[in-house]
Amino acid sequence: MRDEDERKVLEKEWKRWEETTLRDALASHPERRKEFVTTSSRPVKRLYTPLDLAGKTEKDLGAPGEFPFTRGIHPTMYRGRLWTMRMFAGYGSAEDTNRRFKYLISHGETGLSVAFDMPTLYGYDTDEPEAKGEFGTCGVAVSSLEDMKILFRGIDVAGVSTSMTINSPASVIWAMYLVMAEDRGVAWTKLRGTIQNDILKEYQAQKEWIYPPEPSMRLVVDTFEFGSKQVPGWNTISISGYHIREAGATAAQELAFTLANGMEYVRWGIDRGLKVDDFAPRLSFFFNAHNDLFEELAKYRAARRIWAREMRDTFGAKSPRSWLLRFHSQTAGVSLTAQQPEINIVRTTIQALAAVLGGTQSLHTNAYDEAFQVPNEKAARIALRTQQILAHESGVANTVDPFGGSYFLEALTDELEADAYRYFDRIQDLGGVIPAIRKGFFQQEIANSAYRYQREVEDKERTIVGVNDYVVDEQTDVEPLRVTEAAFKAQVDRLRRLRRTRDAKKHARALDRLGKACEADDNTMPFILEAVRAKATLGEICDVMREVFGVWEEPLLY
Amino acid sequence: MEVIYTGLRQTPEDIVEAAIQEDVDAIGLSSLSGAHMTLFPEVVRLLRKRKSGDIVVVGGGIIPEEDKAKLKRAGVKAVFGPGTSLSDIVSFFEKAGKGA
Repeated sequence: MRDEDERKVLEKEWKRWEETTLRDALASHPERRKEFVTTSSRPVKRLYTPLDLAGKTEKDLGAPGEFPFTRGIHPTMYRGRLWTMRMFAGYGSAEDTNRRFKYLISHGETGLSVAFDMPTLYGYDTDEPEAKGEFGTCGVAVSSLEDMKILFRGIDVAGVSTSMTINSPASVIWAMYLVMAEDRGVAWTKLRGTIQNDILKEYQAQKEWIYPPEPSMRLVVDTFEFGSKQVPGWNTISISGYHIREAGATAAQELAFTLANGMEYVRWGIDRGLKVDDFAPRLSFFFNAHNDLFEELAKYRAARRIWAREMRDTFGAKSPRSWLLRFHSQTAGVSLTAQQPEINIVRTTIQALAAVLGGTQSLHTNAYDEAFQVPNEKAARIALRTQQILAHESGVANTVDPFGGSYFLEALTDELEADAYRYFDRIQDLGGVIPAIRKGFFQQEIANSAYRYQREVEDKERTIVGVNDYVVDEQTDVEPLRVTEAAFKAQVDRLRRLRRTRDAKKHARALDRLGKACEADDNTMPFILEAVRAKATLGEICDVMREVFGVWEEPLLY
Repeated sequence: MEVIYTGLRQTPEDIVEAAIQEDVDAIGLSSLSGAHMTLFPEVVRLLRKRKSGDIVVVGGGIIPEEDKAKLKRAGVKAVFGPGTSLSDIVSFFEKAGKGA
């Protein structure tokens, strides 16, 4: 009763403000636009007041480190430990990328993140016809165990966590990493890191798939099962909204599709007979950090709240560690402009700020030249320095969830949460995530958003500095990073030598056993490991699986 | 106007084969990975080899300025880089269509 009285008083007070102060101001100074919207075209009100928190209590928000974790997964957040500064890196040969890793570590990065080249992402060796022209251009080529060994030469793999952006061939690349550690005498229990291994978003947005959805999901669950027993410090998946957003989705779509995918993986794990609390603590997430500061903050906070609730109440997870949504973030590559590339440093700073204020566990900041290429050394260093300035100079790491309680932010968090649940219902109505992929639902939703955004830019409803306004006519001055022919030749030579010198019988037997395991219901991980130890290449292992599982043809949409 | 999408990860041979089979007027290639200097001229070369050099080849994606000129010399008719508006692309094809 008292709450209602209070509300009435507030309503009256704000109405008075609208009819006096505001009305007079608008009469003499009209606003710049009729409607103000976020990057995702979500309308934003002129002012948010305590009325926007109607019904909200401290309990909905929760304390940091407590259910539902809206304010963060740790009670002290960055006062205890800063986020991991994890720069996504890879180009050319394993030697080139190993050098870049060491360079970044020497400049203060605190975690490794591997970018693979296109053939590796699609499960081809460097010398296959499908790999033509693609060697090392957008990441490092890893075709065999030999490459993996060189990639981590001189790096303490027990002391640093390593994230690997690899999806369809994730279990093969992970097996190479595990065998590399094994050969060095490092116990798997000491390894920490992440494989992206999120195949669902490949069908929806990123499009680096090999096999159809069902066998792909089986491979993912194989890693959950294997990892929970043998590599307990490894995140066997990074459920990724990043690529969904990069493909043009809105913040709400990124949030909703990512969490819907997350729940789909949980269902598949449970259907395998795994206990939810045995694998859920190793599920991790990956979100975009885009331009619209508050919308991004709201997205991260809503994500934590939804995940905690669904894991506890829908999936019956008992361990609080299963409720935690831990996430990596990367600034929005799609927002970087080829025009006036230096100003991308400013965009990246704002985006990185959103990720930090949103409580990210690790962060990659894009380099300003990434609208053109894999970053050159200096550009990568400036990107890392951006994080270091946020951590040590800006003061934002001094307190937990600094914007918590902001009328605007809390209202936006609620809105995004409600949007996500509306999408969950629509996906369910379509029969679930995989049927919705087959119907092209996600693909269409994302394409529509991307098209709308592009039209807004071209119609100048939306200003992009340096692109459709504040344009200058100048030659861009970005030092090019080119992959050398010598690196390509060395890689091909290494691959051919490996094929020539390995034990042919052992190799054939391992691939044969892998094929049989794929046909049967066995967990494929031990067989992939055996093939890697027998020096089978990535392309050869994926060929065995292509043979058994077939390849995915995407549904066409116009 | 009819659009035939050949899908991802097509080799130049696949693309040229599909273009000739379907009797197309133009081929649009997209590459964001940096492989354009190998793949785009190869498509043009194979088309000429198969006496289909009249098919207009255009490209788009992340293509540095210096590569644009090289691609044009190699027979790629237009290169649409970042910031190209949809209407520019449409008007290119309208003109190309009238010329044919």
